[in-house]
Amino acid sequence: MKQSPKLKLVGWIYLILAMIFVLGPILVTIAFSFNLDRFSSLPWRGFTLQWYEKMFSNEDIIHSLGNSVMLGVCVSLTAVLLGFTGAYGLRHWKSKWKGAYMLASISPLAVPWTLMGLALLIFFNRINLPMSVVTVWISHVVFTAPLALTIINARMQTIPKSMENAAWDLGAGSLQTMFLVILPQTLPGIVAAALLTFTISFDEFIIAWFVCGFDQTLPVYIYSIIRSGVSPTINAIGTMVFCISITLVSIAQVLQRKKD
Amino acid sequence: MSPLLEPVRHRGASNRSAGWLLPLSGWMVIFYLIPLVFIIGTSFRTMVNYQLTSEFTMQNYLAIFAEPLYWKALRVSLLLAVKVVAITTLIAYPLAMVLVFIVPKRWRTFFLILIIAPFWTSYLIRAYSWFIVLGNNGILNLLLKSLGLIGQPVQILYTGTATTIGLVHYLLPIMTLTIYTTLENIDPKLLEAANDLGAGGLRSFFHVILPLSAGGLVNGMMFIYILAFADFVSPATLGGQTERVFPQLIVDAVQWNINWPLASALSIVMVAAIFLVLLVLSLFRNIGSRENGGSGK
Amino acid sequence: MPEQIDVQLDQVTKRYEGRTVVDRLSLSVERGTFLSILGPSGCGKTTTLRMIGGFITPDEGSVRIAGEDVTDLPPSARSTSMVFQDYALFPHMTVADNIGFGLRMQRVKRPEARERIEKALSMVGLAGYGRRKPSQLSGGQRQRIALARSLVLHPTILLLDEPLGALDAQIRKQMQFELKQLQTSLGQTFVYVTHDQEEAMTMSDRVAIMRGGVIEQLGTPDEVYDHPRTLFVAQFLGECSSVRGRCEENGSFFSDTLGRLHGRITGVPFSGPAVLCIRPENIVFSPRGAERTDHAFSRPAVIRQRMFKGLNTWLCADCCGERIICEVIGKSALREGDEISLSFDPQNAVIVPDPGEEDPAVSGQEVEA
Repeated sequence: MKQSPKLKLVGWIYLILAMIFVLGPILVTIAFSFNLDRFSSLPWRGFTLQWYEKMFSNEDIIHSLGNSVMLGVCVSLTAVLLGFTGAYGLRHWKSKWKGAYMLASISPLAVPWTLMGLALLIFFNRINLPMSVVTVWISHVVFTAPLALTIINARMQTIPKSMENAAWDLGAGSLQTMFLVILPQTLPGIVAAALLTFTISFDEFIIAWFVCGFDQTLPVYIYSIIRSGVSPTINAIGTMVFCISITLVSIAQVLQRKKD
Repeated sequence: MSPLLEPVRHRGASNRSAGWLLPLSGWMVIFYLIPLVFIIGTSFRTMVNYQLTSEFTMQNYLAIFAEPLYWKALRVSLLLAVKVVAITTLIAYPLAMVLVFIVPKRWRTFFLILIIAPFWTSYLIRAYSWFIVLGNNGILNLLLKSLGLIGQPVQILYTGTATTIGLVHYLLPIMTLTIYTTLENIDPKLLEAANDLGAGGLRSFFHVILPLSAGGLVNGMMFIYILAFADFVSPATLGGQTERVFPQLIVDAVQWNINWPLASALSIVMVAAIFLVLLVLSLFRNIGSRENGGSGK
Repeated sequence: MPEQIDVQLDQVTKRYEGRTVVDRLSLSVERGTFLSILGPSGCGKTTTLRMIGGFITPDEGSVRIAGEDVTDLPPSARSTSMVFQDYALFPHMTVADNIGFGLRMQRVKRPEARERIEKALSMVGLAGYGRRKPSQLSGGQRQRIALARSLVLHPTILLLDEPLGALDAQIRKQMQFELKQLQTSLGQTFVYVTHDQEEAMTMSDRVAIMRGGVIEQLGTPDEVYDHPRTLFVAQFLGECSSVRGRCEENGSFFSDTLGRLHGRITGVPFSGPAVLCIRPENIVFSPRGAERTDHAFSRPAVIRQRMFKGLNTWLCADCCGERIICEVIGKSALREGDEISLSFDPQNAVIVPDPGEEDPAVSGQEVEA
């Protein structure tokens, strides 16, 4: 489509403005995490790392951070495991219900999370499972496993069926084929899914709030602090969370687009 | 020689491998489907002394429909969601167009990552970022003051506007991505043909691009509508006490009243409200495909 | 030494969704034979190959490899090895690991495996390529690695599923030559599936022509070319001119247009509707007045089309309403519109049954290679 330079200019300006809108507040948080002033406002009082020091010396923060990290790793591993086995099963499943199955497994992402959180709270109560990181782990896997399935499945579909036939022909059993032939070739998808699911679990708030009991995750802790107003330590926490999340997400994106 | 394997394995190879689906399916059935069934059941019970009773009753639903507080919250949520969807779409569509038609291919991935990455980071933290920016002494007010546009700080925080901003900010990346994907899938040859037949930029847009993207567009709108209606984070962090949304009332019922049956009933009502609007929206999806030969996905 | 039958298919049948893809097919392959299964797409040749390999189980019938009934055995338990159409090389493994995969499955010890891999690599002319990855190789090289991967296991039979399809014409011709050389030098039994008749004719000791799930004819390339038993076989293997008519009880052919001819009948004598097939290279076009008298059959004709193909020229003439094609080496002085005399030796013309509108294929009969 031939475009006038004027149109192009307008387009780029719009893009830049949109970027400012999307990234601006985040940059503000990062910037103010270094501001001496308690009130996260201008004029700039001075550069400091004290909020970071405060963050690392706060027991509650460290504790909830530890919970979130451990939770993220467990969720990630479980989601990837379920996603991989699911993708492998889908690969060999000959049925017209395949599409319906995939749609159904994705559906948790469209269900209102407040509803899901409450439903899980009631469910765990019913089966007498006490609220803890375990219940959060279970709940997070419900959302992240389908996502892992989608990502890993996309990767797995690029592997031609003749690979398994060749391995079979050369004497490999079912398990050997999966480990020696399919798994290595699916690895980029698996790693991308692992990083993404970790990030989602690490950042997730509302479901965790419903089912975490006394084992606060980091977002739950942050929420309790926000209720009482502005706190500069949150800027530091927020910056740290952003850095972790964006790094992992970018690596995952790069891995996904590699060899596409 | 190669190790011998049972003949049975040979015949049913494809069916047996479907067993790999069991772990995922089992998890989803136990921890997704069953809780959903439970919540429906719970909405018809009552809670006495922090214990669920077993008798069937409609009192929760009756209480909800009788209480004006809930109707108001429903209205607030609905208006908010519609407003958010409209604004997000109006911002996202041109943004996606710019990415597809103006930004050169090499830079697209870069900008896409920049726009999408925030979606995968903590929503709560992002809401808090707006919390800082929109406060009476926040960046926005300071900016407006220094530009001489206002004398007194404008109260944005703790209002519906702040909630709207927070939600739009949250949903913009995903809507942009949806529209971007839809636009990218339009065969560029169609645009060339339209051009060749005399359609300029604006006409190409209305007669070719818009109808062909209608399917994906409506899908995106439906998706963010659900997210907007059911959202708790932005209203709780940025909104005020006067315009409380429905999800906040659900959380109240859980946190302060410890009335799980009521909360369950509220949740079901919310889902029904969301569903009704989606039904209406989906009618538009089909209109797009029949009249204009659009994608109608 | 008694002949060794390496592959024996007995009344093998396979159905998919009500359609019979392979119909009571029987086949024997002797040790050391290069057999090609040739046919149009959908004829069941790949299904047959996969049944030999064990990827598909027949609904009826039995498969024997070197005398042993393997019908219910999976590929990993059979002494067959398949070279796939897309080679199916494991991209995450080196060339050496690829070739050694089967050996690893058989738990062959490292030193011995390494030796065998080296030998396999030199056999396909790629010695020293062990450390490379498949993505670093060209199409032809990948093809050879796939070959080496199968051959290193010393299989009784090597199965090849249109392995040269993805290669450029130049490389393909070279590979055909090398494959044949390899097969001969190893004395290995090859079962090769292809839809390219030229390829099959070039490399094979025996050709099985399949259609509609059945083998229509099996024989050496010369046999099937010069003595086709059915119209399909005659028309599939190269060009031929066909004239419709009747075959009489005494074995002569009669048509309204060409009169009576004493052609050749391959196979069982019959009487009824028939088609006379003549290969272009057996027809002579001469200018009117310069007839050849040594041929028993001669008729006037007019040239309708002239196609110069470089190596040879094809002339298509109208003779009493029939379209006859003649092939001449190099250029021809004849032009469109020329009036010529067409002649051929009737013994070079084959009479085959006319299949009519519906086309019943030959089935159920044992065919030996």
